[in-house]
Amino acid sequence: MLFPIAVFLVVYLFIATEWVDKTIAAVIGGGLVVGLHIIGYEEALHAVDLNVLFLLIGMMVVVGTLSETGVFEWLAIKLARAAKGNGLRIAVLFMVLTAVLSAFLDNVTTVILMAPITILLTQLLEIPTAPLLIMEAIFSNIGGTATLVGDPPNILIGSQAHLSFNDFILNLTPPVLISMAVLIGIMVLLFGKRMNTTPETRKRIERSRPEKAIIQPLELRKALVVFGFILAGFFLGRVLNIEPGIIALVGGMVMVAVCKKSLHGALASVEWDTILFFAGLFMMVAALEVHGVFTALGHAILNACHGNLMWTAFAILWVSALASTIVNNIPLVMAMIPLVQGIVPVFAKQMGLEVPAEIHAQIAAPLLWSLALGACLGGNGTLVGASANVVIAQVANRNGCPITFGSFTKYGFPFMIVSLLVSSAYIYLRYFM
Amino acid sequence: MNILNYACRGISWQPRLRAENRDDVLKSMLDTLCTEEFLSVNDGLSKEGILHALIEREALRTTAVGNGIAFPHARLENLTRSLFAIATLEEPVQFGAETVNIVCLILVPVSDPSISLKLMAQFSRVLMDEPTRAQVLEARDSKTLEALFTHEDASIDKPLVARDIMRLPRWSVNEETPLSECAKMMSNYQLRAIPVLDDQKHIVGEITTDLLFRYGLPDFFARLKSVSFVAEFDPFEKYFEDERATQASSIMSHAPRIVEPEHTVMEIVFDLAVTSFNKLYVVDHTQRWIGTVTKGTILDNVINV
Repeated sequence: MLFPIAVFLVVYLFIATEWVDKTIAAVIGGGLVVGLHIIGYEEALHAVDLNVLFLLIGMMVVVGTLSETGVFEWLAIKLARAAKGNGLRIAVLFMVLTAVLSAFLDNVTTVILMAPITILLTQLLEIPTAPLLIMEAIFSNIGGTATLVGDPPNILIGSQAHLSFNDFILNLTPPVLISMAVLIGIMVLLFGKRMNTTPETRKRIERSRPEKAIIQPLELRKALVVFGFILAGFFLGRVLNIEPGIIALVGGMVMVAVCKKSLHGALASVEWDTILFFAGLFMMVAALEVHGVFTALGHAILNACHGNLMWTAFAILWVSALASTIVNNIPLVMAMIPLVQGIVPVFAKQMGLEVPAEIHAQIAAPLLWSLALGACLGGNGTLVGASANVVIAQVANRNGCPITFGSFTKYGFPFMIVSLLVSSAYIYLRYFM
Repeated sequence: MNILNYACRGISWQPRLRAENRDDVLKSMLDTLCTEEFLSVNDGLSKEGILHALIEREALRTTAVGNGIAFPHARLENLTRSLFAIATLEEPVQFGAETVNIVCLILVPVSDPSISLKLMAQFSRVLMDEPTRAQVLEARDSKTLEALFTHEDASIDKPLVARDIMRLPRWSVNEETPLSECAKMMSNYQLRAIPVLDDQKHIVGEITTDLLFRYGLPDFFARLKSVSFVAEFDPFEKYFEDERATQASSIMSHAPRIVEPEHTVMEIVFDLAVTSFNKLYVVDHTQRWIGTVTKGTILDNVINV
């Protein structure tokens, strides 16, 4: 058991320290566990969850095609006009837009789409840029927590634990909405006067022409119809017994065909390094699983929580959140899922449950939702907690409004604590009352 | 083929010509070159017609290439055989902005344009050498002049290389040059790229219009899908804030395309067209900058002769 753990930890060290690109580290790690016969090649291949990879690829193609049309610039400028150039109102609306977009698109993609237009608007309105960008990263991480497709940890949990798109909406959207409401309130109190605009700067927004933002109106209409079908597919996935991965992948291809885009161009918007990162990690985690590492860890956690399910759920929520503030939450969740699944039967035995549906509802569900909330919301804790934070800092630094580890954490950490408190209360009220 | 195949004994070598201006030079050279015999063989050509063609070509862009040398040339419908004449001038004349005292006039049939380039290349090779160029200017009779151009390998069958078509070094900046000056120079002379030189005339970088734009425009601007929805925004605000304070070295690219004088035309075309370099900088064995080849040079010399 120690050998696979050693391999995993060494590779993990490389991923965490970024001594080499994380994708290269993960793929070499995958190669090592196969090459050193820690796990059979067939088994390793089987562990690569194509449902996850298809979902990622499909959604990346979809977003790439949609963003080409200029629809996101249009949305942003429309909102700015609706807010009549009022800085604070724009900030609030932008956070809501970021969270909503992020619920359906990848968080990094959302901030890449939102950041440039936000910088442009803050420069037009002459209001501070960096705090708004930090908030955008935070709200993208929060919004992404709400759905199965919003954040990679959720995609992983959904696919590996066979939870549907609707399961996520029903269980995770409520705490996300409450957290958002609370955090927006805090943001309004914090920003207050700093977001004041002058009549002159407000005129600049009045004079904007949102309709000009749509550069491919025909493609946009077609793409939105296809996107509608993809979302319908997600909602009906459980009824139709179709996994989200294949819906997204096929939907992406249909969108490319219907919008008459070049497939080559569409595939260029897929972040292949992320896809390979996942593939490598899947193989490494499978090696740990095969050697019973997670079962052993599960028992350890159980002992630490004295066999109390609620404390175990809280432990998973807070530990995965705090761990996510420093380490990448994707490998974390990938390792945590088998761990959680290892704990479930122990609790079932302890509680005398035998019906699979009951076991799932009473034991697995609260633990998995705690994991999802912890891993996704924990990303807000520090600048390196989530890819969206890092990306937004890069964009900000390149545009003369630097975001440092400290300046991000100043907002991110308290916001994370607030959202975790809301989540803890939610988990307690919903699953243990 | 030897260059002498395209010379008319005696009359192709015209040392110490006296002329008032460019057109006067061309006219005098043609007066000597276009004998009765020439005009009878090349039915349909006239001195006036040839002069007109030469002046028309000069109007497109001067054929002066620096170092006091010009290559006026024309492609003529009814010419049966390519020929050239080389004149040195008692008093230099202006070819556009360039002062010229060695004129290599070349006439080629429409059907055989490549000869003109090969001849130009051969003349350039001879005139590139400074002592030889001084001797050419001093030559008092046609025999001496001819001997200077033919005493070494006078064959024109060699492949064309960078040295043959390059333009001599002109505009450059150094690492400390403020961006405002770089931009002004590029704007005044319509340059897409200028080299950045160190004290030893070694090329250490290149400033291109693309780099200036990328520097001037804010990063987020390039990330938007379009900007037509905002009515007013000054994208160059940052640029104008610090163009004077910023030096060439801070934005220059460190990978200008530097080639040897022997870089063939085929390689040059590949560099310019396929790998999309703006300019090729030709350097000698001590790495000093000795010439430039641009897409324009290729158009002038290879395609549009």
